[in-house]
Amino acid sequence: MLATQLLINGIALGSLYALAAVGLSLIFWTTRVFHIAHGAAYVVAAYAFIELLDRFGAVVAVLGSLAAAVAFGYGINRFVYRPIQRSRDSFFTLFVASFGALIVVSNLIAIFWGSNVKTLEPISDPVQVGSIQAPSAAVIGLVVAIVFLAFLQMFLAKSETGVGLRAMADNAALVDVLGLNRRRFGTTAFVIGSAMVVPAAILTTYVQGVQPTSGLKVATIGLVVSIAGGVGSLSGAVVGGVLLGVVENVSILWVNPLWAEAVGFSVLLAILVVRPTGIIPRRSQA
Amino acid sequence: MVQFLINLVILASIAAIVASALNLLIGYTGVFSIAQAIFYGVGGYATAVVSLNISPSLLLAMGVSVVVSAAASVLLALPAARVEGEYFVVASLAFAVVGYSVFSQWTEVTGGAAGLVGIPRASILGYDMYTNEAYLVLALVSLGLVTGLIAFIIKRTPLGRSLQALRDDPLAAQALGKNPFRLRLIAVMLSGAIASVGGVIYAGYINFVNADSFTPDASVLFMAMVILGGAGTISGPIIGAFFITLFPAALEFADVPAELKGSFEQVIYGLALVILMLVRPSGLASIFARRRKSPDPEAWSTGPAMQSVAAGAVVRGGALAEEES
Repeated sequence: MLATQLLINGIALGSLYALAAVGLSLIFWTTRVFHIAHGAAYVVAAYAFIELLDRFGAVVAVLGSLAAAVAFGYGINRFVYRPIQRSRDSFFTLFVASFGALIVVSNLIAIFWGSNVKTLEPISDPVQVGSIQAPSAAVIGLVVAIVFLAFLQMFLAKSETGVGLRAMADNAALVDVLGLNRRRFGTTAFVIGSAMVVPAAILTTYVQGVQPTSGLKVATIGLVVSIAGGVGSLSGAVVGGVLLGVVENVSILWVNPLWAEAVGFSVLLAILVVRPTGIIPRRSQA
Repeated sequence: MVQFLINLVILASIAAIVASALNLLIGYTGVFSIAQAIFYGVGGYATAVVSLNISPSLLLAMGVSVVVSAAASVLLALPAARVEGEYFVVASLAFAVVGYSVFSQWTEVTGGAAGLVGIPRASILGYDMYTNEAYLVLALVSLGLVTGLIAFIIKRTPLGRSLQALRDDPLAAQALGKNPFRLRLIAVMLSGAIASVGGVIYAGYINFVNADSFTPDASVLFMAMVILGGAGTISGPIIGAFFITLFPAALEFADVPAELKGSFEQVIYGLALVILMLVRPSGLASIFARRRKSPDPEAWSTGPAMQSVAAGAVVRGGALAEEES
């Protein structure tokens, strides 16, 4: 019984990880920016939601949170990454700038809202099936994750922009050669990717709360999960996220819960060593 | 004031040692690691355990730290053999997270969250270094030795040239008979061993260690020092380490409410990282490099190291041909 409960907890937590990771995955595979400041978009979205919820209600809060995350993603690409890419398209230069932006945002939030954990009242009572229960936000998270990912998959498969984004992930230089606008696709990736962090930020705040330092943790999970999940594949990020959640929870059966994080990341690290292309690599690259 | 400055210079020198060791990987071997705080931490904990249980001898602590750290770094070299570039960055990030967990949870050895307290100041050959001034000398001399050692390896030894050749073009290096796995393993072990020296000095100086000093953030910060200063230059990581350590301290005197000071410093410092990457993407050291008209250290694709390795192969090949004829 405990095992089933832990498995459910793991899947619920994992789907939140997956939601946070998949936006980052989209940005990373199309633009190749090591966007650790995605964690900043996450905390911006979470704090915007908390701030607006009491005053204007849930709908405004969700929209405000979405606007804040997208504005951040668009802004950092437009005013930080692109100017750097123009002078010197180096992986680490972008990474350091991204890390700097994350530090700025986390600490601005700490200055204005304090550095303590902020929590929200649960949306409703936990969902109960037999003796197994899960927080309602986690159940919503699972549903939202499935719906969102299905939409994203469809968008990437069918729409012209989606095909362009996939082409960019395959070979960015060739996109240029074909006369398509790489910059516009990059902007699109940042806008969609940042928007996708919003459900993760809101729902995780309901389940675990949020604090200014949450951003780095989320971005670390997102980056590791994206790459261990599968090189260049979004479904890989989902599988990786769920796997991390499940391993962290189920490992509690055998090890002290304090070691759960170490066990989860060790498993991902082992996957990277054994299978460098990730769990689900892109078929074109396999 | 003087004590305040001495303290800062000691901490900056320690950071410079760790960053220089990391530069050996990022700048000279093309192994993009961001797990450097782990080896710094291994040095710190090893020193703590040795000093608390056996003797405060500096040389003993250093010997143990270097060996343990080099051994631990093999774990990082494993993914380095399989994945490259940005994939390895992620593997090393995962390594940094796992390592930090081990530091903070393995209570029997590391003291857990409370850490290990009461580490005595080191003694070297019977001389006890109780004063901060003694530690200042120790830190600066160690930094000098480490810098000299790295410069020597890179500029004067076949190993150094092979590493740079591997960085410039792994495939060509392999074609010339260099074993990439062996080279990366050596580089990672060397880097881990050197970084642990920083931890040795830190543990004795601060008198206690806990996991807070060796977080994944700290690892990213060491990477930032290397990039900010200029990867692939000897002076770069030192400039970067001093900048990142001294810059927030300069804000100590700003007129800000005490409870916000930490966050305020961090904001300015994060902004500095962003702005510096915008205006000087190849690092601060390039300001001096350009003045001296030396070749751009960042122009990796046309590295001279590859040419010299290739030349060596040609010479050997030529000699072989002569023997055959």
